[in-house]
Amino acid sequence: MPISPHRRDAIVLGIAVGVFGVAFGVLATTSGFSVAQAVAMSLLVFTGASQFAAASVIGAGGSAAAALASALLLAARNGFYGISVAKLVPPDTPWWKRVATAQLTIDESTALGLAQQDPAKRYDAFLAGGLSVFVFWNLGTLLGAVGGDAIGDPAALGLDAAFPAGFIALMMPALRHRSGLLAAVAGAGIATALIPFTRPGIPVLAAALGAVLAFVTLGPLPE
Amino acid sequence: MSWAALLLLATGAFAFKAAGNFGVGSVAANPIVVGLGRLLPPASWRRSSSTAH
Repeated sequence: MPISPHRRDAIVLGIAVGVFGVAFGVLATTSGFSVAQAVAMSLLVFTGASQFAAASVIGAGGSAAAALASALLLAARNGFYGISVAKLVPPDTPWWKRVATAQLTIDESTALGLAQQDPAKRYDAFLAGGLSVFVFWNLGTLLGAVGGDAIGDPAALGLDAAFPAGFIALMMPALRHRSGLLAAVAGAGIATALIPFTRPGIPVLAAALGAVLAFVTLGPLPE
Repeated sequence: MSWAALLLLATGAFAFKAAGNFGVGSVAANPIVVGLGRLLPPASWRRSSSTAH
């Protein structure tokens, strides 16, 4: 049976994110986390930017409180994603599936779900993206944490460009509308301006103001 | 990082995700919120009231 295009995209996206999982596993263990802690963090926290922030702060000698503050600040953006994702969930969805939906609410799954032109495919694309990223992110973390130095830094191979490139591709349908384009440009401008002056997490949250600006001036994206 | 801090991070991260999925998005549609909203003066009254001050 042929695989649907959005599920195929989900697998490709998951593999790309899995490379980052390897990088996280390496970073976590070199920052003092045990293999079990690195793996547990990917399973339970499951939001890459926050995990990288926490491991980086601990690795640089920062306190657990500072690591938590940075990580939770970055995790706050998932609350914004959740508002959009809630609209994709069918009303008769059982509670356990809603809990799983919440845990899978991350950048990639949200983008893949919302990128579908057909509303009927959005929740399936969200779940496929979330599950694919969950599997490959955790496999990557395990590989990086156990393999450690033998693997090296995936960024040195240029693989770190795969994820941003894939994310921009997912954004392309929204950029065809004036409000989507304004939101992207304003958000990128706000984030870029704030990066040198604020702690990690603030720029990405403030970038959401770009969407507010676009929707107030040009209206929301069409369905 | 201790296991306690790690679990705190996991709880906090999930709380944000769940807040969006279960909370904030559905607050506006909650019958209690809708009822409270009806108790507020109509927008036209608020506009005329604000210009009076």
